[in-house]
Amino acid sequence: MSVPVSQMWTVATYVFGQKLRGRKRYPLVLMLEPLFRCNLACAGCGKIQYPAHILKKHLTVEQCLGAVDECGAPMVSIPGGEPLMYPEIGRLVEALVARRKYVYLCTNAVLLEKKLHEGLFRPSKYLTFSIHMDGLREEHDEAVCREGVFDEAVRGIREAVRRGFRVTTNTTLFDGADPVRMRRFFDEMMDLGVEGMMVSPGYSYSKAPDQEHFLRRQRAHELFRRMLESPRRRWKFNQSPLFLQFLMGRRDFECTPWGNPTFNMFGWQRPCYLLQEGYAASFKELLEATRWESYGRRSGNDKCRDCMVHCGHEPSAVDATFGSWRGLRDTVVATVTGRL
Amino acid sequence: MSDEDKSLEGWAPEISDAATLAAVVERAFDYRGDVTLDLDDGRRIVGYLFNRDRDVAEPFVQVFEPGQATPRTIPYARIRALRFTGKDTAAGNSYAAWLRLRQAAKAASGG
Repeated sequence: MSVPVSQMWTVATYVFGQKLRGRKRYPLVLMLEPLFRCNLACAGCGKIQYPAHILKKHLTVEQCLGAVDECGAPMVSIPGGEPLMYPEIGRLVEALVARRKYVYLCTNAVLLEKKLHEGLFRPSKYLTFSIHMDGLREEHDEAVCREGVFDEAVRGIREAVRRGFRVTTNTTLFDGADPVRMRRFFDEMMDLGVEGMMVSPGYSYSKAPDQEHFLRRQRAHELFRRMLESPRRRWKFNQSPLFLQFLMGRRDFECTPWGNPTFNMFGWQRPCYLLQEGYAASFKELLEATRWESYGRRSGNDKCRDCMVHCGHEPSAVDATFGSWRGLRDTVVATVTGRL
Repeated sequence: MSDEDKSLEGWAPEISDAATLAAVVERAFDYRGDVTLDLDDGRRIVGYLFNRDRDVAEPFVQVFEPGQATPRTIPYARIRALRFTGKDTAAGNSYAAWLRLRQAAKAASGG
């Protein structure tokens, strides 16, 4: 794992604190979407398919901070849309860093080099650029439906690393992904000097236009086993090793959708980042009025049957780490030995 | 069937009772374009219907109208008609459609 000790300590004390208070459901990462607008139109993404007047809207910084304070999660992920198109992104990040939130700014990096030159951000242990990279050049450009984006992202990564920022990659894998090429991709990303990588299978959510290329569960396990079997020592993953073992089919987790709650201009999204079944007016309402028993694999909900996505299962993995001595031991062993 | 064939764009369902209205609202909630609502007082609301809740004492929908900073909340009981009048932004944007375009472009350039 590549997560800095200070971040691990913050997460560990936070989770222990929740457990000591007897909280069954608690947020770990707030998914904060200040806008839906994007400079790409990826086939796998349903986030950008809205009328123009919705795409023109964005949250105010005050609305964002209100959600952050209300939620209380120690980490804030800023996806979108493309967050670098958010006109107040510099001010938002500065305010989050001042609150000592660990921020993952999830960007396609098309604008990253330009924004860095403009001096919009300052390096901080609290700020990580999480760069969307779905594979080597050919796979990535195909996934984002535009040629040349891989090279733009690489330039952005190099510049961010050169300036001393924390940089990770985030990769969504679809059916047809080649494990051998993905292993080459991991090598290439580590060569760029990123701190760590994040991987997750894509999910066939109903509003995404690309229904055919998302991974079913068994195929996903097989792909991740072939990809992560005998991981190279130099590969660093900015993720729980227990989550990676889950992806490989070596342990099972139930979804904890409240772990990564989503807030955007419509409110608090029910029940998770991927399914859009309605919106709550407050985080309290989201936690208390959502029928959580209707979601997750054990619920029998068809929409959840094949889902293994990080936003529902990585909080489960973190909870497992701190939920038992065995979970803690397994995490420590995987972290120290690098074996999954 | 293509994505365009599946679109609800232009649909103007007849709403005869509460059950029909609830079903139409569900379709509108899934629709990725603006809708037009005719209310019982003669007003007409055009906007993006992004939320609905049937499990409360007074079921409601929420609509963002173009140019408005805050959404409008409308009780189900006040809706007389709901039409799918805006462009369906999800239609025709499938991965398969992109692959077809890409292959056509490559063929045209001799690639």
